[in-house]
Amino acid sequence: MLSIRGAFKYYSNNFVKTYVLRDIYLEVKEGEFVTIMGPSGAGKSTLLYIMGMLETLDDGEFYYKENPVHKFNEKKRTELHKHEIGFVFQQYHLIDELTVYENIEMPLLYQKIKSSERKSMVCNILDKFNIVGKKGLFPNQLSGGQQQLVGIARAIIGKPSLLLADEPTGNLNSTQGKEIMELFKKLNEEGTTIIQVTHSEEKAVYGNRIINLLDGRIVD
Amino acid sequence: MFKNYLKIAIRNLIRHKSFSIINIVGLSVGMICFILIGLWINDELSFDKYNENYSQIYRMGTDSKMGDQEGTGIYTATPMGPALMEEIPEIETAVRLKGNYEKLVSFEETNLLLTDIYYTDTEVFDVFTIPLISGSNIDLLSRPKTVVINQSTAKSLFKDIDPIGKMLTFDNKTEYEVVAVAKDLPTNSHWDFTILASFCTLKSYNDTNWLSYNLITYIKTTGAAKENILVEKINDLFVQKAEPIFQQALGITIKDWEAQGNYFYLRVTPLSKIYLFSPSDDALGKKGDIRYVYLFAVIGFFILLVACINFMNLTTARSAVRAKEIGMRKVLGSNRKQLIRQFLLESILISLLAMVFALIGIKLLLPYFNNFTEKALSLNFAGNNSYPIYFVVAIFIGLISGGYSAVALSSYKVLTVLKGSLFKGRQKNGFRNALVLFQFAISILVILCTIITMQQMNFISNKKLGFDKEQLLVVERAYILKDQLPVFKEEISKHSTVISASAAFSVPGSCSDGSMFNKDNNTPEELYHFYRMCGDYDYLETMGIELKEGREFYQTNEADKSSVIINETAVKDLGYTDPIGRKILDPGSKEELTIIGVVKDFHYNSLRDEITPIVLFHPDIWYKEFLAIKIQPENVAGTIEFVKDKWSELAGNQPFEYFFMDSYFDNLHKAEQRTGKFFTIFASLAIFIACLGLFGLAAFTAEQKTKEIGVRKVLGASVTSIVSILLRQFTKWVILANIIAWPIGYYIMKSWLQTFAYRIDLNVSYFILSGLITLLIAVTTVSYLAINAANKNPVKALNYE
Repeated sequence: MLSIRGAFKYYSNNFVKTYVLRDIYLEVKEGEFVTIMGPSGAGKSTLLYIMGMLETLDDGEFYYKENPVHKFNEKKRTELHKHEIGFVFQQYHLIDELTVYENIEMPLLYQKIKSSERKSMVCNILDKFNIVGKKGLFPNQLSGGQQQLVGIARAIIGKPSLLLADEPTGNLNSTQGKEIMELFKKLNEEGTTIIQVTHSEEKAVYGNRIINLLDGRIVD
Repeated sequence: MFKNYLKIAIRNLIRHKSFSIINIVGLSVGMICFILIGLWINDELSFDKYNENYSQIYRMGTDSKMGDQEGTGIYTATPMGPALMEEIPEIETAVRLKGNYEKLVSFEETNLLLTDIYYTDTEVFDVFTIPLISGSNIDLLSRPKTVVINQSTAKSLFKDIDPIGKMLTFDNKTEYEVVAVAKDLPTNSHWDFTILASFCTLKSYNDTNWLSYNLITYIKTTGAAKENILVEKINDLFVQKAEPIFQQALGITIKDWEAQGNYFYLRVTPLSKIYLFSPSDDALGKKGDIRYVYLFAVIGFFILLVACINFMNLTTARSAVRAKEIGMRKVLGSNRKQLIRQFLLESILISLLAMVFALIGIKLLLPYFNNFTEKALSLNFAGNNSYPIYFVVAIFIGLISGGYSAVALSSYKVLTVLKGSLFKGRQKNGFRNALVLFQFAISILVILCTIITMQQMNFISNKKLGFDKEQLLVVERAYILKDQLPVFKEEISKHSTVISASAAFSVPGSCSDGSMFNKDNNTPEELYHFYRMCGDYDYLETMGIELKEGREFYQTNEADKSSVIINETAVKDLGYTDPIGRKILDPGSKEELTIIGVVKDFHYNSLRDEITPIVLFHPDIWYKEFLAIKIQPENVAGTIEFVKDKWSELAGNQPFEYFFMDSYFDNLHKAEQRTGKFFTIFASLAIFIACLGLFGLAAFTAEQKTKEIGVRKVLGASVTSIVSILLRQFTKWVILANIIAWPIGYYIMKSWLQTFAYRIDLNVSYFILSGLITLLIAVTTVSYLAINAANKNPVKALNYE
């Protein structure tokens, strides 16, 4: 489904290149649940954002469903990612000025889906996640677990083929974390490819493959 | 999508109330200034455009040089108008206006003293657009003793009676028949009339002298000829017509006369140039000044710019708050264009809101503004509905002020924004700093101009004028009393609150009568220009004019009738070392006038003009226009009442007209006074807007530095040292802004002061003062916030991260 070949990513600072990723080769197949692990500063998030087409490679190739993403300009990337990829963040990143309903609806607006269709899609997912009663609330009126639930609902409402999660349970207590991970597992079983970044061994076991990253390289 | 943007925008406005208020208020005030100035300028530029043949109408004028004296004028000869019409095919029609006269106009029991009365031809209705309300428009004013009156005159004279066919009496003598009522000319007309009387009533109608200039001629061209060709044809015609009479009068041909270095040309001034571009002594009625139009256009534009910059700064400064939303929207599939669109929509929304408040504000302010500018401005400046224009302006302002932040905000990288590293480390805010700098520079410039304008105005009103304008009551039209005038003066002088009284031909501020004189050393080619004044034996005392040497006129001395008193400047110009007993000669009558006294220089005209030579004639020489009365400061109203009663006893139904010398003289500088006030008002508003911006920015900086302040406090910094960190940043900008603003201010004010003959020096202290004022305002604003920030608990500040 996606394939990264010989990827490099670095930042130039005062003519010194600081490498974040070095020589990464990675293949992810449709239906996988991949976990990326590694210490702070290993380049986990950068790799995730590259796969999400929100960051570009400085060197190497990145194919997504046969598309040469490394050759795409920003507009083309945006076009591809908004239909294909969903994102979940550790800090949820819900928009404070919008209600639960409106937050979930937003990706559909950018995908130019008709109003009536949007309505039924949002209602379905609210129903599925059991948060119909909360649809009129603002993010700061919800608990962390509830906010992350909304975050996931927002990430998958556009029916993406790939779901990327950056420490999705990092800010949650263990019960809430467990619930979220169960949800991911269920989504994976329903066919969504998932790649998650985590520190936690416990969360890593939900996936079916682990990639270890250290100082920008894949180890072992 | 649009709805989503709108929702976010409105919720953001409500959530960040103080930010929204600062933004909207600042923008509103800027818009108010901009629109008020815009309306004023629009009105200034609209003068005379109500005429249907606006672009084809010209006013005749003259350019001349005789001897040493060059001059321009707007008065032309009586036979010229009809001759132009007849002999130059490019001139369709011409009209002569003789006036303007002031007359006592009576109908039955109603007596009105009316100004702006003109004798004119029937063509006035062809040249100018003057719609009639009643009466027939066929051959108007072609019969002697007929008049057309305007609507408001008709109302005050006739009330509800139909004026057509009624008889009006002028100065209790001549009767005129009202043949039509015309609409009042709009306020943006350079001339105005109350009554137009038929020119053929006057004997001078048949005057054929091409060298006697006593009326104003307007022409309407066919539009076929170019201006310079037209002028050439007119001058050819003039030479042809004037030659015989010229030779008769001077004994030489025009050519020979011109060969001596003299000239006399006729010129044309397009109607579009009359109001704003003619020199001030060319004014028939209202007079504008294109320089003020430019000046205020610049001021209005700058104030709006300051407001827009505020908006830009505040919006960009607040980007931290919006960063997460921007990042998230990008993650969810928004492209940059969509983000830019969203932010532009937000700024347009704010701009529209600001416009609504601005329009409400202007509605409330307009009556005062109109009163102040003596105009009848309305928000509906462009016909029936100007509101779409304001709508478009608001959108435009929204786009301009939101443009920068929209582009800047939408360029954020998703990863940096969402990882929260956007605002870590040193920031490069070059563009924003430049904007703040610019804002300060404009504020300093405006403050500087205000200080200097006010100083100059103060200087003018406190300048020693050489005569005493206080408690000087001047009765106008004293000549009406004829031989009763001495009786009037006598009676009034007896009153207890009257110090002295004097009948005079002219008073300071009303001097316009000049003449040429020769020295007594037999050099007829050396001509000296003098203004001529004349008052009775009490003139110098009543006016408070000081005698420097020699004596006043003696009532008993017959020989004094050919004596004169001159001023110091005249002595200097003539080069007389011992002036008493010397003579000046009238080159026309060859009469010798002996100088018996010299008065100290006094300002007989506006302080724009330098003092020039003056000659005071013997009291019996000329008629008396005014009675000047020096009164005690106590019970002024009672004194006026007394004078008025005496007037009515002697003058019958003639209205009593008077003025006070001090306000009359101040009126000479009205345009400058008004400019001064204009400056002060708009300067305070500009400063207000700039302060709002500063407050917002300082608040943001303080918030951004919360962490730095926290760390410093943990490390032992005092509140004072923290406040000084924040202050230093702003002080630097203010000082830099001064360096930019001073030379510009110096240049502008220098050239403005050049227009005054008597002016203040551009003192360094004005510049320093303007800088200090700005600094003080900036420091006060920032200190308040800085102290607040510095007093926060450092633990809280650090946990916030």
